[in-house]
Amino acid sequence: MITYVLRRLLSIVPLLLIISVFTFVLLQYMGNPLSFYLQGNVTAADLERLTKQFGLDRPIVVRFADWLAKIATGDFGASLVSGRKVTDLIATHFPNTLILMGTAFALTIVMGIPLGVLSAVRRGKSADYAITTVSIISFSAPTFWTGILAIVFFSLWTRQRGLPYLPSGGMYDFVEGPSFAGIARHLILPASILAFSMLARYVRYVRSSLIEVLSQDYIRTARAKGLREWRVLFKHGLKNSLLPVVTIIAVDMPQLMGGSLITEQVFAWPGMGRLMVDHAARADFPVLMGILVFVALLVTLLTVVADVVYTFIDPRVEYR
Amino acid sequence: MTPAARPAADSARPTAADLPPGTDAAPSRVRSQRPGRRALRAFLRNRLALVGVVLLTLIVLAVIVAPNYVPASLAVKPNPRQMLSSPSAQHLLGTDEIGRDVAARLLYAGRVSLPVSLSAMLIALVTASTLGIVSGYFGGWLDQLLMRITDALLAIPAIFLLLTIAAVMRPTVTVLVVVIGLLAWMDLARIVRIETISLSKRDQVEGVKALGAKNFRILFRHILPNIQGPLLVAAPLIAGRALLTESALSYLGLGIQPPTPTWGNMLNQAQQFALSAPLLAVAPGLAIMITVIAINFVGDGLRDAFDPRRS
Repeated sequence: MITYVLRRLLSIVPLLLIISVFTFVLLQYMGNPLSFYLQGNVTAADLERLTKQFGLDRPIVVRFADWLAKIATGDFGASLVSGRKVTDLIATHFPNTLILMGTAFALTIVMGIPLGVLSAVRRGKSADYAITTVSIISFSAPTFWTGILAIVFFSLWTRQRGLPYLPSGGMYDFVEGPSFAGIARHLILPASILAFSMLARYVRYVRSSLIEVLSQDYIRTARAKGLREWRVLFKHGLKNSLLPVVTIIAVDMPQLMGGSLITEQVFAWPGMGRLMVDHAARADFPVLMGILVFVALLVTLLTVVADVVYTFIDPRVEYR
Repeated sequence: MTPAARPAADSARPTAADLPPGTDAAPSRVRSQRPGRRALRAFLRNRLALVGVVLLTLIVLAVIVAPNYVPASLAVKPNPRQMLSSPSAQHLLGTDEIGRDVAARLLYAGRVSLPVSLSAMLIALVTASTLGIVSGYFGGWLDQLLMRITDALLAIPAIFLLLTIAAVMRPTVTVLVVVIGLLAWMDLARIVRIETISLSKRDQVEGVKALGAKNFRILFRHILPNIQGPLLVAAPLIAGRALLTESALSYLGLGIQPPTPTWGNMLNQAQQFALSAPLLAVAPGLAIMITVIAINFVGDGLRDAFDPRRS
């Protein structure tokens, strides 16, 4: 087991190397690392000085080795816009993204599994059709659009009518300052919208997985020996059909992060996605580079964790 | 879709390519039993898929004929006397914050958004099938390298990469299409690779190899035609995703730039006026959603049609 985990962890190394080559080529070779400065008034002499200062006159291989050595020690440099260290920026923004993603994810599971079960049990009935229709909408509606609509209905319109309303953006009230209740209130809309965007996949997955499991022989046996239907369904059926969900959680990680980027933008949630969009618009390369590498590392690590967890909970999977 | 679950008829089917030139290809009786025909029949029986086809046809037609009925100036020229007007006979969906007709903008935006997602899909299909086939057929270090690159691209959420690329290059529409396409092939390439591996172990391929067929010929005549199924199934899903990606990027202000209207960038400003002119925000989103739903219906129909386990 330990060797398996170690081997999986080791397999991350070539992956990260490829990712860093990507990022480097993208930002240092295809893009002009000085484009941030080109936005203002610069003379040719300034440019030459900057080129020297950033070491851009060195061969590309040397620059890559230098850059790789730096990020390997966790040094992503500083933001060109604010001068703050990239690691600091990520450290302050990532927890907010984690709050949003975690809540959205919990909501997805809490709503997705019962809806999937209901859909499978009432297969072909009106409840199934209703749930499937909602899933299709959830699957096809762009997050930014459902987000805007949610703001219009639950924030602006209700406020106009003097009804209780939800905050339209931000993470807490600037007057009140951050508090648990305040953050929770601000979290309702973005987390629900993000959860809604992921809901379809889980509903569909649980539905088809449960339908498949329920057609197995051991379910027939369980029924034949006179177990109550809910016991057959939950103890024997659901337990087995939920195992593979762990795998989609891992596969879904990039999507969840992408979705949260857009949601953060719609709801002005001060997370990593917003950090990324803000700094992308201003060609702040060190920040972009840091976020890319960080996100890639996170996703790869989580995939490994999901794989390992999966072999733990499903004894049928053998690890080699 | 496991390769083993494919019908035996698929691999046993005689290939016209191996007959000497001049001989007619497979007779029509044989052709009617091809999986392609069976899939087509299954597809035509699927009501939702047909709804998708009809919807898509209507949308595409509307977008194509638009310039004959709606002058482009309505969609791009500001009209200060008509700002944020509500729907009327003259402006079916009202006007936006600088007085442009929303309905006209929707149509003209479709003329950008639809070709963008379609071309991105084609690029993704070509990339996925080329890399998947090469990886699966040749194996070895090339396979290793290509698959690690696939993994790496899958590990970074596409929108993060796209934002970076947008920041680096300030892309034109063409570049954007290429980039969206080049970030959408990974899942499909894995499927194609697995299919190729299983196909190249089949007797059919082993046989022509023994006859001395060149790799190039084997790939084009024996492998490529047999992965049409997965490609067809994946195509609509990729197109739908490309449409969502383009609109998300344009919504963020880093995709296709105004004044060129796209369904995504129409929403960029709409948020501010959502209360006074709700249609401004509702209409482009609905256009995206209905198109993607239609595409997904078609995709689901194709998947069911090509999956022999459902029938």
